Amino acid sequence: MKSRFLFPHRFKLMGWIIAIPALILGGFVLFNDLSFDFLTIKLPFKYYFSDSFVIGSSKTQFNDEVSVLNFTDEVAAIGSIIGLILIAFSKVKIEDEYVTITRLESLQWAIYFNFSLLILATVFVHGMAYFQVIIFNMFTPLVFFIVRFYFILFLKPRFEKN
Amino acid sequence: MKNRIRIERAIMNITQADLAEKIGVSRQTINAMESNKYVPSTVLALKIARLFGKTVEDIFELEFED
Repeated sequence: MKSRFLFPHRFKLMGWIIAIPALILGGFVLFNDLSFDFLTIKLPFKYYFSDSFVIGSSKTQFNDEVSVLNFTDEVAAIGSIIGLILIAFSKVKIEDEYVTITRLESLQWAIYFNFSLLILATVFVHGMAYFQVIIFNMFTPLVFFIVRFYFILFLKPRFEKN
Repeated sequence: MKNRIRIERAIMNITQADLAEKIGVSRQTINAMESNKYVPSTVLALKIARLFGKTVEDIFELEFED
């Protein structure tokens, strides 16, 4: 498996720079309903894919003619995704066969782990709270992969040093 | 599969990092091989054998479970 789809090593730092603020912003958007006013846009038509989540909510604005969208959460989500992808799939300093195999196995492990947790969450979390589970699930596969991959490469040898 | 990489490395008196650099792999790979956590590819095994001046069979040995 040649490293065809990997970013150069420099991109890892850029990934951290993008991901950390985006994830923090996302946390505030999710738990504190943070939204920046300058990121609000008004469309002069009803945008079909922006129906209110709760039907008949009194918070819907201008149901008929215009749509008002706030992009703070979009910025947080896209920034987090791009940042995490850059961190996860940038080349390590020395790319050899062991790193390639470890990367593949870590990806598998992350998917197994992520979906196991998702099943547990599906069983135990219900109603509107499940919406938060879904949002976390957008990012947890990448996060678990990053943690597992770098753990195997750098932390585990340190524990087994003799 | 057993290997004598650690022994040969001690005979040559070089560190894991040195060995890794000579072969062109990362130190984690050498560590994983010596801890029997990783079976190297044929090319890598040949390179290691050549570096130590031995044959591949001298350094790597099949075990019963293989």
